[in-house]
Amino acid sequence: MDKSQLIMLLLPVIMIQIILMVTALTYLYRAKSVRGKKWIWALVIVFLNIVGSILFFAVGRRES
Amino acid sequence: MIGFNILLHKEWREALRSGKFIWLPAVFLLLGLAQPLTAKFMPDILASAGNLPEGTIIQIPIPKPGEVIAQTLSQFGTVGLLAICLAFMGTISAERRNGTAAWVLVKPVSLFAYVASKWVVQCFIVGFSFGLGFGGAWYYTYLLIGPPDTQAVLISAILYFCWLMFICTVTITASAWLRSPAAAAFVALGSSTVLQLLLGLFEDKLSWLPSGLNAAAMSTLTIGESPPWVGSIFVTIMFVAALMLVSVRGLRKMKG
Repeated sequence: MDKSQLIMLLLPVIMIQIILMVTALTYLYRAKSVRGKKWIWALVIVFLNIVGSILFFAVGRRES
Repeated sequence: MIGFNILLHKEWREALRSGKFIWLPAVFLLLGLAQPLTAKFMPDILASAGNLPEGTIIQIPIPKPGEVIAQTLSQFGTVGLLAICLAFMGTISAERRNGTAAWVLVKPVSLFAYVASKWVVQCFIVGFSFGLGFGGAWYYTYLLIGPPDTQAVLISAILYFCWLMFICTVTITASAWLRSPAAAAFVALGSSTVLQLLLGLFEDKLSWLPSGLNAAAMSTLTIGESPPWVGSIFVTIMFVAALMLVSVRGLRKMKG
């Protein structure tokens, strides 16, 4: 298996990861208030990848 | 079941708005795609990551297709289950706190319709996410490792979906009785662990437990033959029905 094939296989994974991150960031931007500071959540979502986004959706948001 | 359709519509809108329909499928899909990839490239990963001495030969047999899909299921059983519990821990208790529940329940709707509408939408979300993730795992296993036994894969998918549905119901019930969402998530995760532990301890006697579905799905994939699971399915359905009635009770207690 050569490099290009591997990249083709990894591409969907990376794309889903990016979609998840962008969705989380949009929700963060739109939210009126979140638990804790917004910029910390932004760092968590960007650097912890999938885990960060899950954490944000599960505990970060406050119900309006 | 007065007002069931309207409540269903409300739940649906809420699931779309809160983003559950995006992140839960994404989580399952990522888990499903990652497992065949790691199974295939484990020797390469070890070779590049570990500081092994020069000339070490690593021989790890590439697992069989069925085993890889079973590994994916066990990933769903840990991270996926956690995601489900976190997503649905506040189903009823959060609505109670912010007043939505009180507002909905002064209208002439039956309590059962209120719980059932939540259950239906959640099962749909979980089914969609699981189907996507499992389909992804199936496809990647097919590409990277080899074609798995189609019949075994389909049977195990159905069994595992029933198990996830059971955990969903436990989460709803817990959130109907407990004020804190964290406690509800803890109860749901804890009961799934306890059920699996009990099954592991008394495998021959307690195979009818709902966690028997999980075990049956795994062994269908790895060994190719499934232990009898009809009893488990029956017991799980009974449990789900009973838990729905228990959650209605919890709601009534809160109302009265």
